[in-house]
Amino acid sequence: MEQKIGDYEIIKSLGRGGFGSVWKATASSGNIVALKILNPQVLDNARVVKKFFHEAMILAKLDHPHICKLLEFFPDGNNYAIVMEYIEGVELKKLLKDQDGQLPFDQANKIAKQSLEAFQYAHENGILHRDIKPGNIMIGKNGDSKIMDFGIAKISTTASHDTAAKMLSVHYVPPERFDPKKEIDARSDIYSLALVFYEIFTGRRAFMVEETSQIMFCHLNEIPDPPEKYRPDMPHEISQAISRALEKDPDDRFKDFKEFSAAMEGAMPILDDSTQAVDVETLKPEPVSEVDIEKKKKKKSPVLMIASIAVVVIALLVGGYFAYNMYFLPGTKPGQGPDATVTQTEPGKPAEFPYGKDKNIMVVIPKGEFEMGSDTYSAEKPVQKIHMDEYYIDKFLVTNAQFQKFVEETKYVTDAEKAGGGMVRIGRRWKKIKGATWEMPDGLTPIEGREDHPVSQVSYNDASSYCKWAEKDLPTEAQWEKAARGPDGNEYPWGNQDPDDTMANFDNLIGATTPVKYYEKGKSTYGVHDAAGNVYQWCKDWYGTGQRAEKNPSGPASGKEHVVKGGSFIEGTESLRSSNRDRYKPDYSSYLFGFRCACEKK
Amino acid sequence: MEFVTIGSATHAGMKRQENQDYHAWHSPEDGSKKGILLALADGMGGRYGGSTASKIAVDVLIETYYKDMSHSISESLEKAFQKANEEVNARGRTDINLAGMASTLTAVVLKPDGMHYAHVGDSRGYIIYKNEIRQFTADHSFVADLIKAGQITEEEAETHPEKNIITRAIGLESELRVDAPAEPQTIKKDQYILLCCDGLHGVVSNEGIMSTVYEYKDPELICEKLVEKANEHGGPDNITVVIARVDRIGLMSRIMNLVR
Repeated sequence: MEQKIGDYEIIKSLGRGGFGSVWKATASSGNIVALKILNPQVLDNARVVKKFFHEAMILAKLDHPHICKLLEFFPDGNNYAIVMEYIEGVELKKLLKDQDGQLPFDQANKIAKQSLEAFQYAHENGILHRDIKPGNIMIGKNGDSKIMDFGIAKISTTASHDTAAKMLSVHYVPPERFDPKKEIDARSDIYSLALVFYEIFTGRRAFMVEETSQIMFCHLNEIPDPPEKYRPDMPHEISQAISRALEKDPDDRFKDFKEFSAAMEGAMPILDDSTQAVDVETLKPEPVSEVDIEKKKKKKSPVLMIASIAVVVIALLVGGYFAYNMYFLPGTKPGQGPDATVTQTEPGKPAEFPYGKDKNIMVVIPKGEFEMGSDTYSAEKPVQKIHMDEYYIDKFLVTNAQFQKFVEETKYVTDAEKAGGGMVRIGRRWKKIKGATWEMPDGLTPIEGREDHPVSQVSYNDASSYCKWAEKDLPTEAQWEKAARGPDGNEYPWGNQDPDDTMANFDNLIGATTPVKYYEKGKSTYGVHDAAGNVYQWCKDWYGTGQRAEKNPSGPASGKEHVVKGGSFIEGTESLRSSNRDRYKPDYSSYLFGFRCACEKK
Repeated sequence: MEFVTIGSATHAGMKRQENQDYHAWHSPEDGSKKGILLALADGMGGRYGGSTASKIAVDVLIETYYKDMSHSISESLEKAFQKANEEVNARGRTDINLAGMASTLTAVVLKPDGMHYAHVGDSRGYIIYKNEIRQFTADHSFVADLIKAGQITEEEAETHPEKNIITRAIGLESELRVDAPAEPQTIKKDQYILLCCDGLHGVVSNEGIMSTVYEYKDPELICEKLVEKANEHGGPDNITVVIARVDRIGLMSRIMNLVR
């Protein structure tokens, strides 16, 4: 084939992409180059051409070891040619296809690292790629990566839209690309690159569908499995960073490639710094073990999630009804006044009685020693024998119905209501969600039909105000922990065996709260329900660490944050341990937080 | 006498200098086993390649279809489409003047006992019968997929800035997925089968197409009038229409129509 374009002698075809065809060619200097002929539709009016010249000038300035260099751009008849550095090697696309599985970790990591450097450099120079895919990453003979086709997609998107021969590969396209009203920015490139990373580390695409409309649907709605599910030996940080870069909302991704690189190297925790409402200190990434990942069900789109929650709620309502009847048949009667005498329900079992304005059943915790704390985490140390005087604690968490009564009587306004919303976890990020209040804890689902579920989306202040109204108090951490783990220092309320789905609502097995009387099998030695899972529970103590008072400890005299205990329906087994503790500011409101009341012996 | 009357018309439109569309039909003399093949292609891309792509696509399709010995019509159509794709790709690789060319391709096989079709791209096939018009091909376009993914509505698609992006075509990639249903569609007497490119369906409404069909009745005349209408609406792109009117049907079709 003897053909010439400008001063370039065409040698052979190198293939084609959506925007044109690529040819190996010889320059008049004798240098071998790659020549890209853009499809005429891509550039068929003067405005676009002008724009492209401008862009090409910036592109030509990009000089980076991992970016394929643009050498020249010139018009040729009705067409335009881009002259680029010729790279001898193989497209990553082909490499992945030939590999037919995962790339060796070191190779994948090298590609990831070099790509990140290239993109960071380009973005710092104001250039977006817009069409990142394995076909645009060349792996040279020495194994180094070179990114091709920077900025070319932009020229295409501004071109006129008469019958366009534009082939869009939607496999690597960010969800915002499907909404013409939305802007594309660096975070869009981050999403696309993360999909490439997903593939090089796991050997499979994040979304295993082929139909274009299904791929689009997945980008818009499906949360991909964490990459480490398919490569358990890969560093957790890399898996987490890829997952975050794949968030649907660009605000939830890394804001630039620098942040993305840092997270890939584990240099920074995966925190949501976009939410001002949260103290970064308090936002610990949940520990995710391999076991956790295996157990976790596939995350669903919000719509599907609500539908499945609805089904579960109905099931639980039925279950809850039976549990309620079972509970009230023997012994105590509900509705007894505050002065009711203590009744022994069963010989040898602690006494229970309804008490306080909310008439919640309270359990008498007999005086005596118990083992508090653990050696597992520094925040839980030391293990200590603590003496407690007799006290009462709510057998069940305070319910939505009870909290409603309190609000009706007192016209109380919660912290989340004052702030216009509370914290909800969307995917793996915490976000302040408008309209998330105790009446709609996740900002989407009203509590109707869940009257017997624990109240949630309440702050320490809210919980404390309720207790005051109910003529009780929040439990101290020691009161809470003794009621949960019993006198002998059990790991969990039910003993030392690992939890399963008959004992507690945890690990996103259900993905929502459950009725407070649901987990009969998970109750503590003293008969306290939901001391593990369902919702976290506020304690009265300010958060502190180290040695405690030997008798009735009540935490430091002052502080910034209050203790929460018990884990939640989202957290894994670790947080269900009775010694586990976390802490949050008094006005922090989350859909995972509720409470129970306690009081001194009357 | 043929059991169908066929007509067609094509025009560059008011804005384009070159007509990159191509169409053809073939009616074999040796009887009805392979039926009558109608094909329409809307070419695009390449330095000079748009018109070449559509012509190669249609020519290779017709040649391959009648040569192929597969038992089923849909299989033959599928193979012919794949061959057309290979050819357009191969030509684009060897001649820089043709690089980047591609084409839509819509084909219908008519037999007295029913019809088959195969299709890639955003050209369309319609069936018009008793004052009803129905599109039997699915558009392989960006906006059609957005609708399927639930992201936009059909109304939004009409004004979408990217409504002309296609997602499948002859010559775009070495792998091609073809819509070629194995099940035949029944045909009825006085039914019209219309193939057109987006120079018509993007410009003249379905109602406009149907009223023209019933006003002029003769396929050749209808096609000419539809081209005129598209040009009256600005003729932004090449316009091509192929119409077959069913004049009589086979015994099988008559029985099937009674059963339905």
